[in-house]
Amino acid sequence: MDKNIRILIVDDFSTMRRIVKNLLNDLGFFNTAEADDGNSALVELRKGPFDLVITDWNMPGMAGIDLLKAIRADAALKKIPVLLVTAEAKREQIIEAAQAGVNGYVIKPFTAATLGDKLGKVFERIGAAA
Amino acid sequence: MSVAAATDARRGMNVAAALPETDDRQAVIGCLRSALAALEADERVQWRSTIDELIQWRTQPLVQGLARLARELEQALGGCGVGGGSLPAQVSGSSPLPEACARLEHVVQVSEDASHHTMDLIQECGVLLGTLPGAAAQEQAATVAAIRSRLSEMTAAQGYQDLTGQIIRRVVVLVSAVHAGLGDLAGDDRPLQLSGLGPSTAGHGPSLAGIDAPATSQDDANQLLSSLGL
Repeated sequence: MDKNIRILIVDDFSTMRRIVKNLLNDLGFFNTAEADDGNSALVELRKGPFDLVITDWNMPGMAGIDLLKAIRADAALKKIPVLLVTAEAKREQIIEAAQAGVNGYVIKPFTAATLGDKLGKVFERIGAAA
Repeated sequence: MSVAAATDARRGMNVAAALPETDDRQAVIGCLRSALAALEADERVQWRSTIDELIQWRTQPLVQGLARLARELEQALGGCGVGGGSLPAQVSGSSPLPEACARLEHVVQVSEDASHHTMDLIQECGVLLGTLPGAAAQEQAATVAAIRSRLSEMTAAQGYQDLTGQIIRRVVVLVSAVHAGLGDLAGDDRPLQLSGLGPSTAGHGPSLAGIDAPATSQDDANQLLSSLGL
């Protein structure tokens, strides 16, 4: 697995952005950028190539589910894997995310082990597709 | 909010069930007779006019009481918005409601600062671990790895700040929406609009036991996603 892949972390809480960033660092991934909602995430995504998006759902401005749909609807972005890390835990929301093309779904609060496990599965798919 | 305004509102809400005061009684009787006569004569304009008059008599005290309540609540809630982390200067000595909102925002800010400080210390511990003499040795490597694993879990545990912050901000947004709705009511007699709390896709935040539907566990989510082919 290429540890230099570029990852965009999207969350309106700076604490959670830092948590995800630090846990990625613990796993050896240091090439990250941050955005605080779906709108600013799309700006970042269009600026430069990203290999993975890790996003919250519940954010002011554009929500994570709408960011996912926008990514899947954009020809230049649609292949980027998206991992939702969210406190939204209703069955219908998980189904909506799956139907919108999410690649993984982590429910907050999560452990470092759970996030590492889900990231591992997403990275496996990235590796297999490469 | 004054006792008088609350009493006015209660009086307004009770008026639907109460008999009219003596002064109003003759006017209401006249109105009812006029409505009956219009109905019997099939005079629609007159019928509608007298019925409207009755409805106005019935609802006017309620509307007046609510409008007065709304004005007073608007004053009490003035300046209670979302965002920002510091206590506003006008809080001291002001009414308790904006102070409560500012305190909630302050809790979000203080817990965010504490989480960042904790993560600063966790990162420093990680660096210090790397400086231990003989840390690479076989006998110490397992212990160092175990400590690093626990430091990672301590980092993940700081997620409480995000979860509690989402709940607190949801309450502040709700209070602000009530404020805005009541502000509208103070200006005219439109109904409260409490549904506009953001786009329908914005999410609901963490589920609270006893209040919200039970949250799906990570295991249940994994099974659900597997059944959907993920």
